[in-house]
Amino acid sequence: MKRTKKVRKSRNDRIFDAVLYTFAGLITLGALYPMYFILIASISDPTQVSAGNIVLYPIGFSLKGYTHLASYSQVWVGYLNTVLYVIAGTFICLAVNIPAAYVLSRQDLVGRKLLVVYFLIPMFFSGGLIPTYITVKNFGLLDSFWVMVVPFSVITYFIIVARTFFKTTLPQELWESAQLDGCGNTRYFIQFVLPLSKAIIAVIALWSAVGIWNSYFNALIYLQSPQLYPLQLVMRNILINNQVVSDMSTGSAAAEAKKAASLIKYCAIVVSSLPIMSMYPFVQKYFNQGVMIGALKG
Amino acid sequence: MKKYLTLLLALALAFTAIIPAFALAEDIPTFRIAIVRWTDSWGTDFAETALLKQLQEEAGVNIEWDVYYYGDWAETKSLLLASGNLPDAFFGAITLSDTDISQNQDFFVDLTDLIPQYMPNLTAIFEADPSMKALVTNRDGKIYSLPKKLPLRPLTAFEPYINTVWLDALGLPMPQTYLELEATLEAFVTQDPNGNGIADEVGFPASGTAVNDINQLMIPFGTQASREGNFMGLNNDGQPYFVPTADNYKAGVEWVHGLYEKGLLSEERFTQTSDMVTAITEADGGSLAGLFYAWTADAGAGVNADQFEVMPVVSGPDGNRYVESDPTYLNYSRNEFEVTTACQDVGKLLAFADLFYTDLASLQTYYGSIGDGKISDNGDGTYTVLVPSDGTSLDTSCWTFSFRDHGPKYMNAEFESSIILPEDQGDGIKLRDDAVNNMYGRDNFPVCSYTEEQLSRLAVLSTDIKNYVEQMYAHWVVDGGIDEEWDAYVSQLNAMGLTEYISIYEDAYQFYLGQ
Repeated sequence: MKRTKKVRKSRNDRIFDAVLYTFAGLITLGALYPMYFILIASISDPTQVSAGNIVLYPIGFSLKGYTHLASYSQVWVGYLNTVLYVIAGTFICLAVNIPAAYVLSRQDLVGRKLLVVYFLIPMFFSGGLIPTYITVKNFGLLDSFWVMVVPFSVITYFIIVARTFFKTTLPQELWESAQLDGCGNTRYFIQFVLPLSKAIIAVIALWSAVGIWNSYFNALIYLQSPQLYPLQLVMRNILINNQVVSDMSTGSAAAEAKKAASLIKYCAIVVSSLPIMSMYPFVQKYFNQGVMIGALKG
Repeated sequence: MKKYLTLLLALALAFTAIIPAFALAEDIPTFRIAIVRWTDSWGTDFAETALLKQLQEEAGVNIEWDVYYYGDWAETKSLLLASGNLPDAFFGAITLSDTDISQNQDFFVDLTDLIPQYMPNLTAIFEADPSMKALVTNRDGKIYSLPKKLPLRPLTAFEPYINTVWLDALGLPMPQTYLELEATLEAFVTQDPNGNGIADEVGFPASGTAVNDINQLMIPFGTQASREGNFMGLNNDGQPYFVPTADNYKAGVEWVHGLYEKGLLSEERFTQTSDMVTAITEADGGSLAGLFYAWTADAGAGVNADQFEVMPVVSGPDGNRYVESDPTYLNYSRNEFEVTTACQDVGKLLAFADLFYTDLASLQTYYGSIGDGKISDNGDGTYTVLVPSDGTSLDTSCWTFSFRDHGPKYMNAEFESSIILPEDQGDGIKLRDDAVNNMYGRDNFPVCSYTEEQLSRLAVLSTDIKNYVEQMYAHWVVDGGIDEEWDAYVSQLNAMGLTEYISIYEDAYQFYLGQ
């Protein structure tokens, strides 16, 4: 029988709730306001924005920034590249991390503990930028499509999370009974493990996709040709490089470059974060699951 | 029969087209040159100009440009140098600094003996203008980089622009002394010269740094220092001195503090961003700035440029008028071109670089190519720089379609007079405005050469010293108290190694004089 009558909360509880809600509300506002500001700044008159007059609502509605951005071809090249990197990178990331995690989750793997340590070491200590650069260079990957998707696809954190998932959700008995029916390792992985692990695959795919979408540093270091730039690097050029144009001996050209950049700055942020932001509501449940999975590592 | 003949002819034609293409492809070496540009807003058209095509053909080389942007360059530069993944050459003075070259000397080709062999144009310039040679010659007599001298240059980098519309509105004359300037700024912020009933006027909106203010706001006190940002100046006897521990600096800071107290400077001048300054100077419906320093009025105030005119510099407490002038820094520079050990055919690459050192090439690497319609050859030995037809400013067009300030360049003084500049654009305005004050220019601490050891000592010392000077400057302008804290400040600087810092610059200056 369902209880319809709620337990009356004590006065202390209500005060506690009120404080909690106010506090959570403030944090939410603090997180949402910058995004809201960027949105209203992108549709306001640029001079009002730089004068600091925009606080709560757009002033001097103008779509100049967006029309200017639409003509900035490098942004669209970057968009396309990012989409390709996300698709290829996520695929490769899954292809290397999921099987590794599964193998490490199997009790009967010889030298399992050593392998885990082997994976863990680079998670805490990396080789450093310059040795990594030289390695990438010697593989002939500099300034190519593949440098963006192959070299950094093994992520130990993903392996650990997925391994924990396999360990806790796939009972040893399942493997034993499959074995009795004559099922080998490969077949077991493809026909049993993968279908039973959709949740973890979705989570890792999402983490990887978001990570690739937001990353610019590898592109900055390893890419040279503008036609390979991902969106975030294009954005960085717009937002940062125009700020450092020296006033020294550059007359009106510097002022004009800065002005063009400040015109499209907010619109560029909106355009580049909108797709990944609008994905969130649909995949949120997987994210929650992902957090739960990650909660128990061992 | 006729059909076969046609086919044969067509084949023959195809052959003649293919053969030279093959021949060319085999003979022409390709060089990879790294160049750093200020911003990607100006695109990469600079690499496709008619002049560059012509020079590549003349030298029989093919150039591929690795384009980097200044904001990312510090990171990428250290990677390139540390990993040894070198291009054949580096181009432009903002690409590598003296320290980069001296610390990685093994990567760079010693050009001392190669210049006379492969670079006839530059050798002739070295003979005619020995300062060009002195500029690139290291203390040990070796040359690792190529120099440039910019043509048609002003004496002052930043001119003072005053809001003459406000002067007229209040019926004020042009200020003549630093005290009159203070009174004028006060009138600007208190008497509502733009007549909108709101006290939104800002006397001097610029952001505050000691390194800028000593050459601009407090220049009436004679605090001029090198544009290199090392705080070194020359006193009236021509002796080098460290400006931020001098008496005139102290007096200047006190005066600036007074201006700040009265609300004549931007209140947030030590924290604001450049966007906030632009919002004041370029405000819709009329600039809200009384005075600013800029390369040209339109660089500072954009569409409001008409409101401003160059202010003749005001006289200081000693009755003299000072203006910042640094022609050696502004016009001459080294490190414009370095060849690395990755280069397979140094002679050929140097021969290509030598082609930049003619009057006509320098004109076109500065304003854009004649072949692209950026400059018209009048046929009588004069050249007219054309205003871009698409509405962009000449300055932007120059940065887009030429190397502008960067790279090897040298123009003879006689040739400069054969160039006709549009008077209402870019360099035309700059030279006109520069003429107002340039007679007050004095010698400045020059661009010197340093030994490897001196460079590494300076790298260690200067960071702390400069940061401390800037920090104390901001503190004194906002809070005051320079009198009480002055002695502690000087002894703190001495503890940071100021004596050694100054002695390095003195030594370099003596060497400069010796040359």
